[in-house]
Amino acid sequence: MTIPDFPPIRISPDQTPSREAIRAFLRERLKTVSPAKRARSWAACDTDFSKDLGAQGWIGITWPEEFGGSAASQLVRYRIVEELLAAGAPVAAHWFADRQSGTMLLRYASEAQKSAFLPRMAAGELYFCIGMSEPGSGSDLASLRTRAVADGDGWRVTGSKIWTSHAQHAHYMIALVRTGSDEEDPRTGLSQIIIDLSSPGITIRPIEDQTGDAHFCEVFLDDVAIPADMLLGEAGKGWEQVNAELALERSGPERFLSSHVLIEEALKALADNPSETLTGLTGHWAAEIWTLRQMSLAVAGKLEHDENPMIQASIVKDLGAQFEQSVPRDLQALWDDASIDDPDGEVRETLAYLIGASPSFSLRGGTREILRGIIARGLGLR
Amino acid sequence: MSDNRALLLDMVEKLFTSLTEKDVQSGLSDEQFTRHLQAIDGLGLTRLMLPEQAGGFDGNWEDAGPVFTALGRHGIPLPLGEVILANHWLHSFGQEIPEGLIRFAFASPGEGEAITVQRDTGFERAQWILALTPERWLLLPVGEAVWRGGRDKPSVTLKWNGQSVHASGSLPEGDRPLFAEAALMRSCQIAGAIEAMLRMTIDHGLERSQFGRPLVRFQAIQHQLAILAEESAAASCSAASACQAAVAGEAGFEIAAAKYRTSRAATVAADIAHQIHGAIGFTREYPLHHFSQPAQAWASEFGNAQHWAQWLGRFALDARPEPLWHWLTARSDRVLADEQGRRA
Repeated sequence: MTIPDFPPIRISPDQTPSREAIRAFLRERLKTVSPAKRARSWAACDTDFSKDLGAQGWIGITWPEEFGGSAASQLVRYRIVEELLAAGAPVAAHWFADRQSGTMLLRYASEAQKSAFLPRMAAGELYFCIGMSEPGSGSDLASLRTRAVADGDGWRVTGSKIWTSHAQHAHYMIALVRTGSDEEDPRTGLSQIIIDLSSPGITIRPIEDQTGDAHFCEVFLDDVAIPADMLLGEAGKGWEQVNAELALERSGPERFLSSHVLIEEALKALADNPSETLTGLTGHWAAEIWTLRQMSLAVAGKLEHDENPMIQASIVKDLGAQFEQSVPRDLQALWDDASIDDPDGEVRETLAYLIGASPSFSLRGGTREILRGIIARGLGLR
Repeated sequence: MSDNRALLLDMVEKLFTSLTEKDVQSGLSDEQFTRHLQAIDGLGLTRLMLPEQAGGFDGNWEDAGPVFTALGRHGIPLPLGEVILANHWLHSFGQEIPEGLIRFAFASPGEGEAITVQRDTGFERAQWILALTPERWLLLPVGEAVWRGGRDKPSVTLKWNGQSVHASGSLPEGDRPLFAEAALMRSCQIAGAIEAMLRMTIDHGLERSQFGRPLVRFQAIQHQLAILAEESAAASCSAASACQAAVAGEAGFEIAAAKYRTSRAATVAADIAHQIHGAIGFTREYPLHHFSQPAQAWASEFGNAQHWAQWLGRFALDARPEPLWHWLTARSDRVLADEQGRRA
């Protein structure tokens, strides 16, 4: 049996861009944005912000220079991303392109596709979304039914995707679709294709969530024509490709910083000598953030060394989501007007938003139950 | 030393495995206790953190941490970690290390030369107490102490006359940095004990069948084991990261955070390990308690979770108006830059 390891990271990445440079940019860009708005962070879409960030060279920074990147280490990207999230920057427009679609294109796309997409992605102008879940296929992703049928050189796709974050702002979707026959193992016969969301036959319907935001969508595909060169990677290898892709999205700082804006705002509002319970809660937050960040960095170190830390990433995501969810609940439970000075109600507003948003933290990107199943498999239990 | 870390850890693994085979876990007579410790002393391991010219291994916290972790993982009930730290501190005070077993104790100063120590310091089997009060250290021979208070009480006042104080000196930075080092040792031991509980519980779940299938085939059990693995990961990563920070320099925050996190993990892990083992894990004969019980005791020693939460909360509040995120990342960047500097 192999116990998943988390050796402390020992790499000191290139110091450009520095934290100070990133923070100065963010201070200027976010100075008029309320805490409750900032708490939305990677659920908030601001295309102007994404273009400005792209102009700084901070999107796709790990990609080769010929495709708009700086060939920087993954840990430089980690620094940029964690600063964006800790400050609560509205990163959703370019988020999926930067985190995973770009990497997927670098791994699997043709040179023509890379040249067509990556430089515009890095400029913060071209946005991608991830088409995985379907109305009948959530955690049981392999049961999906959206089908691509060969048509001449290309494909015709019919079906629907759901819970697709920011599809209404995206230009393209990397969709997992069925290309094989029904008799096969459901995990074979799946392929990833790149769909131009302006194609005829596509309808995108945003779905309002319980906080009143509408960041995820249902995407209907009605006999949509896909050119042959929009197949990503190999036909029939979609399941493997998607699993490698998921490792990119399960251990990053977005998995423990979703409530961070609330922590900083609460700290600002706390009296010099708050109640003992609130002092203890503050200490708990500091210890948990530090531990989760050390764990997340350990996974980043493994990714940098081309290891596949699927189990470790699942552990970070499950622990991180529990922490993010606990922050608003614990603060609400211990709220003490004598200890918290919140004259404009900004802390309360942020808290109220996060109480509403936090159920999604252990659903998006793989539910808690799916993650624990992956960990159990890694421990040799199934 | 750090070059020889792999050799050291290999030696320690073999030593602890052989001690476990000698059944050290099931209780030791005074004679066995002394004999085992003397054997370990003979290997020089008690001088792990002393410089080579003082007969030591020149080990830093990233050498000592894994040794402490191995103590917890093997369930070794000998105070080797405590002796390593006592020797390390005595040497840093410029004090010769005396013959015979030494234990340290964080003590309240009393009148004259009297100090109050906790009974669970384990000083009864030691020849020496290194007493650490908020301002001074004192090296005291246990045999010359006059006991006050019942031998059945949790703390006892020991009194020496002036002549029997073997050595003493001031602690210019107080006893809290030493208290934190003791807490870091416990964090490492807890991490080791949790890893042992995880392995043991998985093994049990694979072997034990109910309703016609091994326990691990039940999803409820799988998810409990996943949580145990998560707590093990958090404990080992926080303890190892705090050791890394301690090598780089001042690591008060990291050590506090690690002791807080490992102490919380200890109870969650022990709960799950016992629950999955069922009644067998509750028996004297079955070895689970060699890990589950010390882990929880260690969680309460040298500052429990509540103590360190308050300390950390104070630390975060006092750092204002600098945002928590800024100082936390600055500390982390410093650790990595220091390490890069030493490697270069």
